[in-house]
Amino acid sequence: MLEARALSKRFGPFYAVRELSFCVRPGEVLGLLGPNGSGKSTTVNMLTGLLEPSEGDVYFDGAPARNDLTAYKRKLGYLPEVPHLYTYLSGREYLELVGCLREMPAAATDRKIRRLLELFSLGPDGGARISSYSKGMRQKILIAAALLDDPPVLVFDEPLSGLDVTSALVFRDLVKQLALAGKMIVYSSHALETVEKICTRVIILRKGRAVAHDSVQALRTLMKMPSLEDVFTQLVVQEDTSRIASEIVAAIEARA
Amino acid sequence: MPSFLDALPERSTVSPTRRLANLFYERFFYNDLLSTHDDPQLASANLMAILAFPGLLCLFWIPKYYVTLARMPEAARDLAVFGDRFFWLSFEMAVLGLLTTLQWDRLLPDRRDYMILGPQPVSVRVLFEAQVKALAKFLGMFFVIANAGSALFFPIAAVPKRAGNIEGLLFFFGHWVSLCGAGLFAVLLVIAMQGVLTNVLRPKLFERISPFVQSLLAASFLGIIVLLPMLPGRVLSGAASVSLLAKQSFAIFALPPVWFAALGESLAGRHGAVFTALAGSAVLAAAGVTLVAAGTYLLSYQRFMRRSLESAGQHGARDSQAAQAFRGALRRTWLKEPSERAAFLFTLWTLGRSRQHRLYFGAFLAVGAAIVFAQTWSLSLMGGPSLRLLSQPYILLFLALVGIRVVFAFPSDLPANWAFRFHAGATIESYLKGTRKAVWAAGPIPLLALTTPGAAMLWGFSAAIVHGAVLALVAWITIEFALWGFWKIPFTCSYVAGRAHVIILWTFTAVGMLVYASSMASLELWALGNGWRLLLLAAPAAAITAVWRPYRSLLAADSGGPIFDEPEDTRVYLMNLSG
Repeated sequence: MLEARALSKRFGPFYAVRELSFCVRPGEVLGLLGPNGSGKSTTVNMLTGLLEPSEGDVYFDGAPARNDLTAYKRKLGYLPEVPHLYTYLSGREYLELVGCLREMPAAATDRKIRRLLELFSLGPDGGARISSYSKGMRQKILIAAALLDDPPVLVFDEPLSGLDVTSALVFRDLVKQLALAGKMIVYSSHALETVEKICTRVIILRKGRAVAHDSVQALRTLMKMPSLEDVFTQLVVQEDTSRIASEIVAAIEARA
Repeated sequence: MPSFLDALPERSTVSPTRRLANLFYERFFYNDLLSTHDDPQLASANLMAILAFPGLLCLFWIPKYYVTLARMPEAARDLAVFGDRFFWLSFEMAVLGLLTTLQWDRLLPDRRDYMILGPQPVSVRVLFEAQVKALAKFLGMFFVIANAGSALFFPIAAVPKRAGNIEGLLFFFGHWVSLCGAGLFAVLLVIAMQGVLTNVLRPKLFERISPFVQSLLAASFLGIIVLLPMLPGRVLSGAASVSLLAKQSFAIFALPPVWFAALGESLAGRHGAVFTALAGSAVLAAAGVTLVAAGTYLLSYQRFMRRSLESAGQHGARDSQAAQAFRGALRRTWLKEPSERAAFLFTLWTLGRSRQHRLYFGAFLAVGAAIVFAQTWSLSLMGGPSLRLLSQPYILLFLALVGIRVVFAFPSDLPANWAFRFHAGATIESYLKGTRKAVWAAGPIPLLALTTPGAAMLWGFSAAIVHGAVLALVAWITIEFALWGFWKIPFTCSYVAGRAHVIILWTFTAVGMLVYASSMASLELWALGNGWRLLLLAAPAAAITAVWRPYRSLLAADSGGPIFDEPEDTRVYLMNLSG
């Protein structure tokens, strides 16, 4: 089980995340929702060990992750929000590098890489440099890299970014099947509709704090709202979006 | 009451061409090859100072030079002036050629330009005009800087005493025309090469070959700059040059700076069949390269913009069966651990493919090749091994290893190092194993493959074995020194700006290289004297290895590596400003 216990991150006097607690059990998909600057990425970075919490800790199977961060990372697959990749490598080479870094057996990794590239429709482009890839192709390489080692915990940060409709649908089904296979999945996204469809539970963050934490169904019932989008709007959106849109239109139409 | 804003014109008065030209011009300085950190102005200022340095040396050199020239007999004096003219023109051509080569990727619009500027209502003509203007401004500035000393001081010192006002002016005029012609020739030669390649090759092939052409050109220009101080005295002064010129030797006729030096001489009034022929070559070459550059560049420009997107959709090459078999064999034999394989592959991929790293490493190799060329071109290979001949592989080895170590410190796509931060779980020692092997593959192994057969052909099989063994032993010790305290995976650690002081680095490198090459060559010469002496070297080396390896592992384990963040220098420099 993956747990966050009173997780906080402070940058100077400013708290990016404050006393956030949750747990993800095998087979669960936990959705992280929130507007820009709500602390989603900071939470993900702490979960993946890329950022050290100021207070609290991440626990895996009851033990603090930071006790043996390397062993913890071996259990973790991560898809970052920004697709930073070594663009002078080919997709195949990048996956090979990840396989080596995770100390996977070479021959089996090769077979797995070939198969994943084919399944992600990257077979013919596997040998081309990542610099020539589209955003969607880069995203597929990152998804393949996160899954390559078959880790029990998966952290996806905006995984649908750049994917076409078919690939997005495939990915949605993939997440469901991974959950059925007993993976623990943290899914951070702005795409409320997808989160509503695949997540077992959601945490809604605002200004670094959890303002809601429950199953989608329970949240809808509790807030008496028909959809997650309405729940989110009620809890997080404090501005009159329609008024702002009207003002933008007025600004661009202004002549003198 | 009308406000201040009402007085402003409706639209910006800066034309799109000018705005774009400024943008392209600034972008020339934001080149990862010119600046390794976020301070392009500082990097450019350093570069300008380095380029201006030879010209400014004239200030100190001129009084003595002037007196020496005045005392010379006329024929010897003219020859000396010709040699100096050759030097300045070669320097200028190499500098401008190198700068144009460093901007190789900026000469034509790239995919990003197409994506950003393509949707804007700007015609290709405007883009082209802006690009040409920016390039002219950038190179023009460096033309002035590189020639700052020679354009003025050289003619003052070299104008013949007998010359009247008109002849004196002609001398100045001849020198300036030759400088402009030579500079333009060097720049346009690079542009023409790129233009021809773009038009002749398929986009994918061009994309693949282009980095290697750039590296080769940059290494050649850099090699010329290093060779220059050694050349005039040997090639173009004294009896040897007289005879070469008289014989109209190919060695003279093949050198473009000689054409332009002869053009300067002709315009200054020194006539003769050889000078006239060489000056004719200069005019023809300049005209030819201008035509080719203009034609191909114009043709390439629009085509390249379109192609840059089309080529993105093309598939990459698959590994050949031979390559797959080779990699499989490496895995089974030399690179058994996944972590060392990761470090090995990543190091070699980055050295070979990252433009910045390849060019920096290439610079060290180019300097080494130029020094070896200058030292050996007149050296007889016949007879037994000499200290001078034996030092050459050590010069190359030293510069290759220093080069590798220097480029290891420059990060490659730093934000992408999350892959290492996240996935890397092995100890630093196991990554260092792979790194050391990559260093062997990039430096000592090719050098051994090159020099050992040469030694066998020249001095016999047993001498080749001794040479190979000593070179390998020296390489091993040097690699251990080079990676001492390097608790990182190459190219993945942040870089603190100003940490590597270029002038100090090169000074230490030059001094170190001289001491290293001569002492290691002496050691090899001693070992070659008697094959048994090799055992005397091998025995202590084996003993040291037995002690060193466990100690190194202990140090690595204590280091807390791999390190991904270089600590900032926390010292505060007060500079007595507190009053």
